[in-house]
Amino acid sequence: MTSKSITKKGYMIPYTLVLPAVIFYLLFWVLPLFKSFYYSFTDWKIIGTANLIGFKNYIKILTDPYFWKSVLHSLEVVAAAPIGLTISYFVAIGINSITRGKSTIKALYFVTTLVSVVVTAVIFKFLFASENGIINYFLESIGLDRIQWFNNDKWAMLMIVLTCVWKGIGWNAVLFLSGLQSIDMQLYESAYLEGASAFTIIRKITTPLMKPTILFTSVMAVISALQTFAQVNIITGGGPARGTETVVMYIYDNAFKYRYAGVACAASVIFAIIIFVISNMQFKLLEKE
Amino acid sequence: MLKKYAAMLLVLSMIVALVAGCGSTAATTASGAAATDTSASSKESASQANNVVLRVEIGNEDYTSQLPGLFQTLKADFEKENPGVTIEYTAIPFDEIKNKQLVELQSGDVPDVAYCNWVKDFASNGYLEDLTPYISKWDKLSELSAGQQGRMQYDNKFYAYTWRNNSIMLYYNKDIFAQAGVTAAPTTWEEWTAACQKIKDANLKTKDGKQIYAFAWPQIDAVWNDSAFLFAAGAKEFSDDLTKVTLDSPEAITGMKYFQSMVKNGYMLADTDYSTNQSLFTNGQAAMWSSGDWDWPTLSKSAVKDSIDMVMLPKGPKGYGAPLGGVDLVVFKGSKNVELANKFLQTLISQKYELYLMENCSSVPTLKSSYDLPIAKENKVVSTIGQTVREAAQFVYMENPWMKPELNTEWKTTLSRILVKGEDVETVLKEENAKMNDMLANK
Repeated sequence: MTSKSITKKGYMIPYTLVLPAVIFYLLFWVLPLFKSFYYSFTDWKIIGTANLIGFKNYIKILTDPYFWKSVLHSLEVVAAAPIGLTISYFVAIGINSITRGKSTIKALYFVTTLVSVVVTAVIFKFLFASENGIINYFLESIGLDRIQWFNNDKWAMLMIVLTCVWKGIGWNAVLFLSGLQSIDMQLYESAYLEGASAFTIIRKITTPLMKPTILFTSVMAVISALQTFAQVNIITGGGPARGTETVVMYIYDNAFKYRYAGVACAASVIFAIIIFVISNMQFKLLEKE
Repeated sequence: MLKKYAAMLLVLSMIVALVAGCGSTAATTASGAAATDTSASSKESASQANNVVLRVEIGNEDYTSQLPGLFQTLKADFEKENPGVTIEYTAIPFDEIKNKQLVELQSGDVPDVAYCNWVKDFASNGYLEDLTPYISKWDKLSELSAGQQGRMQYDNKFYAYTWRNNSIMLYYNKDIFAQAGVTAAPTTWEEWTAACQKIKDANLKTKDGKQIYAFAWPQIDAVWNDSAFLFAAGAKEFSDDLTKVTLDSPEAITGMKYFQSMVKNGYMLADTDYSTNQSLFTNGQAAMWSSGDWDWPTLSKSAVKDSIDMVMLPKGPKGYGAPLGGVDLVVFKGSKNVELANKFLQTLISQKYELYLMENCSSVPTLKSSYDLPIAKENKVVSTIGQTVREAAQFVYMENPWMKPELNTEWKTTLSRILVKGEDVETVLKEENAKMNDMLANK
């Protein structure tokens, strides 16, 4: 087959069109992935040579209590993902059911996505400030004690979880909304004529038909929750006493603060496996249902 | 047909864009290489005394916006006095300097002179030029306190010039003191506790009903600031040879117990957020606040500005222990302009530029004689810091000039456990000290 004939048949065009994307993907995704895997077996410190040290980094991480604590903290954020998804789901159903001003309401909810993570984190930090924060002011005004949000692991974690939930509402609601809009309206009309309640409609019509969207959104929400970093970094800095440090923060600190790039790469590999297992479980669980 | 040509054109343009992208990278690399060549040639020509380029890496510091003016004045003066010499500055955000220098060291393209607040770390790795032959003969050396000289040394050799040394002091609100019946600013830990207790007992409230605390501390887990409590109790963070962390000593336990008592007795909030704590003082919700000269621009514009006075941080059982900060400047190993670099740095730390700092940059000077100038004496912030700097002893800090980030994080954790969580001081220090020594041994 001559090159002329290939061009004639138009084979070259699609391949050439995807070529830049493939090169980009190989250079910035696949290559770093393999390099990270390689560096996870070395003592690389960003500068200097990388010497192979076997499984030393993996042993160090797996025996480091701070790593396991950070995994636990990441899982705590993940555990809150269903709350955020549920809120987003009902927000989407609410928006979908209104007839006037839908676009405005949709845009308003999407603001949570448009506001950068950093800005969100700073706002929440001010809201929860121990002495002059609005939340404590409100608690005091209804006769409750102030909470030292930043001084207690559990409260600090709750603060981060709330930030993540708030941040995710807009994006997840829009995803749900796109799913809702693809449902045939005739099904709803028939259900109304049959006298079905709103709750029954959601349970029997909306939710089953939304399964692919729910699956996709929940997987993305869990992955996003596992990757929580900026909120923690800005609001608590991982404190008190590393009580809110997440895995991504653990990896970041090892790589860029301490320059233990080999350790950070090994932690990334372990973390990638954890994400893979959790996502796989999610797929299986939701597909089964 | 037209569609096919359009598609081909699109493909072609994408390929061109891709190649151009790579090309621009190549061009950048080439220009980078050219820059390296220029730097290499400048190093070579250094010995020829003509057309020498002295590369100086400085930090962007937010609170002293007039510093660039100082450096430009210095450049003009120095180039005039040294024909054939060109000063080339590179300004880098302060918290990115160390990482940038590590990359520069990796590539072998290091500046001649640079900000470097991790003198002991870099000197122990052999990255710095030994400046002892120049500094030991420097006529201003005797004007530097033991603490200042300590920042400049590693293994009894001079590797840096220290500059604009600052420290923390005790700002206090005279009105709150008067309301609580505190007649004088505390000068010792005993007096400090007594003043705090008096303010607490007075149970004062602001006009809008908010609780007034005795004291606010910038950041409960700020390793540099918190070292004041260790040093004032006679503790050391490291053994003299920097091979061991010594934070489980009886002195360290005493110092941290005292600090913890401030929180446990309800004199202060155990908050880790700087701005929250600062606002307590600037809103009149805290009677005392500990910080340095860098805070004065904010404090002097606050609602309580007319009530603020300042003294040195109270002394502990073993004397004075305020940490000594500032900027250290080094000459990187491999510089071909070591002599010129020393001349440049000695010019920077001379009276003309010391005056410039005080007059234009709201900054503190370095030399003892500068603190004797009328402008320094008339400025309460500068004179108090000056007094502090003069008395600061030779300590090695976890943060700098011995900067080990992983130890820093662990020390922050230690401080949080003691001050925020209120755990037993002795137990925490023993546990964490062992961890830090493991880290140091396995670096």
